[in-house]
Amino acid sequence: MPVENAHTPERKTPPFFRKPAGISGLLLMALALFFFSFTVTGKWSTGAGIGARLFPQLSLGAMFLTGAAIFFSRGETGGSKYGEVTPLRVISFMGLAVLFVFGVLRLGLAVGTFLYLTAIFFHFGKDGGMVRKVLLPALGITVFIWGLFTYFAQIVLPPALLF
Amino acid sequence: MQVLEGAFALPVVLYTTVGVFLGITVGAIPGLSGDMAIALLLPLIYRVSPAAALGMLMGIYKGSMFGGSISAISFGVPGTAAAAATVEDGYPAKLKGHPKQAMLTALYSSVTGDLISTLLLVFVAVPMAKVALHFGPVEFFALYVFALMMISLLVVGEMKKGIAAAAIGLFIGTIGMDPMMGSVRLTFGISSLRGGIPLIPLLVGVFAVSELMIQFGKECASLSAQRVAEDVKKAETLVGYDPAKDKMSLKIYWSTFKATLIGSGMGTFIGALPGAGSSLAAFMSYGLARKMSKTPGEFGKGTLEGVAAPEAGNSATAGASLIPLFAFGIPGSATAALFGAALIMQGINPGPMMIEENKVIIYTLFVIIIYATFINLALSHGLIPLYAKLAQIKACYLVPTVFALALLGTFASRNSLFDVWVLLAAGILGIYLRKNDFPLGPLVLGFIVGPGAEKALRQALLMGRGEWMFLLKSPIALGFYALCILSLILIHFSVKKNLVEED
Repeated sequence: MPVENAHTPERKTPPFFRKPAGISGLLLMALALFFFSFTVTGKWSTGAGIGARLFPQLSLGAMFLTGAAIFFSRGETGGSKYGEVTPLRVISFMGLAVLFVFGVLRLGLAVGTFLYLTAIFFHFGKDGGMVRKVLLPALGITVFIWGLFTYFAQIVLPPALLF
Repeated sequence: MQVLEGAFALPVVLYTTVGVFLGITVGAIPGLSGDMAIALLLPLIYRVSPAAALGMLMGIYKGSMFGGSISAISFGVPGTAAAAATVEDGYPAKLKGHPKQAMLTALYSSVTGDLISTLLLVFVAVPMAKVALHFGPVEFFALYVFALMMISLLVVGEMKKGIAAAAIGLFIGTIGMDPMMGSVRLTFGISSLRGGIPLIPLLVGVFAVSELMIQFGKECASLSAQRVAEDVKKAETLVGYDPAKDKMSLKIYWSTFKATLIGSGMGTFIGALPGAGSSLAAFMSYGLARKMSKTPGEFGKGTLEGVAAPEAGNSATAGASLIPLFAFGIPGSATAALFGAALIMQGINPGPMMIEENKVIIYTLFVIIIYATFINLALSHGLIPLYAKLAQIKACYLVPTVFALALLGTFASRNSLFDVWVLLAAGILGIYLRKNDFPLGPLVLGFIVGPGAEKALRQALLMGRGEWMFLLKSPIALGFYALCILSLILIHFSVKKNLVEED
């Protein structure tokens, strides 16, 4: 009878990567330093009390110090709740957003929205029937969004090339 | 008379009712929140009259507070973070065969807490704003420091992450022209950044897009599919459920009234503090009600007192969190910050002069806030069974729809592609912060109060000819700094005590 996990080798993860809080602390410090360099070299007004550079410098200083505190803190891990959100998913989400916006600008609100929703619903619900799970919900929601923008909010989008 | 005419105009009542309906709906769906709905609607309502627009947003806020408890009690899945404490006793009460009593107790205590807090807003905001009229830059800067301190310290989670988030918000707020001399800061040659980071895309990105990305990462299933399936199984074993034994009565409401009052008091107090949100209010109300109960052992086992206290607590923050916004122009919570953004979009600048300059609209708003509570009561009472089914809406339909609304709304508010890029960038920032357990409220509040704080500091230093000690010359300012130190000490010791208890 095999014993569960009996031969699983113990992974030796470097402490830095085992502690996502450490990475976020380091990132905060790096960003604070990066932007701080621009506050020093920028040709900003020095008048009106403290000048234009002190307040950004104060906020960046606070960012750096809290980043250091987070980096050197013990025990916190973070990120466990949203572990399934990978960079690839974020990029695909963003890509879809960009395509959708350009789709609406080129093809119009109704067509752009319908195509975007159809594509996403097809990706998720292709096993359940094209008409019932994909086309009908996409059409219904498109009508809802179109009505919301055109009649409720009375928002005029720039004219699209197609419609 | 003008106030009543404005408040009870048909479009205003309709918009408020739609707002309450939307609020309960988003509150009942786990994964969506009142903040998200308000952020999404901001770009859509700027053409509507101020009373109707603000009534709708207030309706969403109030509705979502109760809406979160529907799925918390029905499935053990809190619809909103503020309803997490309600699960402790709401779900066991349902399993014990009292779903109706638990749901109606949640509704009545929620409405009671909301009403108490709203009345406080009406009676306290105006005198406080009159006091604030005597504040100068020195006092205002001290107030901003106090608000930022509270925002960072009172977050649920790690304090240093709260401070870091507030610092990020403050820094983002400094991008663009400086508020005194017009120097262009940190724009990196991007002309669209000269006016600063636009508020709406930042809010929608941080609150809505980041949450949608998280939902998008999950499989196409009901948002609470697993818990619902478990619940159905348990419901099948709930043999002998007797609707006759699950009737709500005045006696039951009265038996939970003490817990409701405790929650209302705690929620109103916490809501009025800048930065402390409804989740904290709910958990603290629950804890205090348990301590003061005659039967503390029953908490966690389905006692209705454990439902009443957190529900009254989270709803009582709704009106109270608007007090600092109306009196000083400083939002008391992330939702109040969104509300402040809506006021700015309607041409009303939050601050001590706001009530004086916009008497009719502000008093109209007070009337709307009061009657929205009763619309919430009536709508929720009739539609609880329908709302309970909303938790089963599939995420694969919901997420793309809400995302399309976020993108279109943001783009349409100024017909600007730049706003869409800011929205997406804010979404990425939001998801990174969520993933690493940084609170988002302090970031938004830091962004909103940052320019005001900088202006007050620079004006104060101009008056004091560059002397930093000038900032300590006002007794009011000294009082605020003393409060900061006192809060730091109190919170430090309470954290230490909790750590010792955990060990």
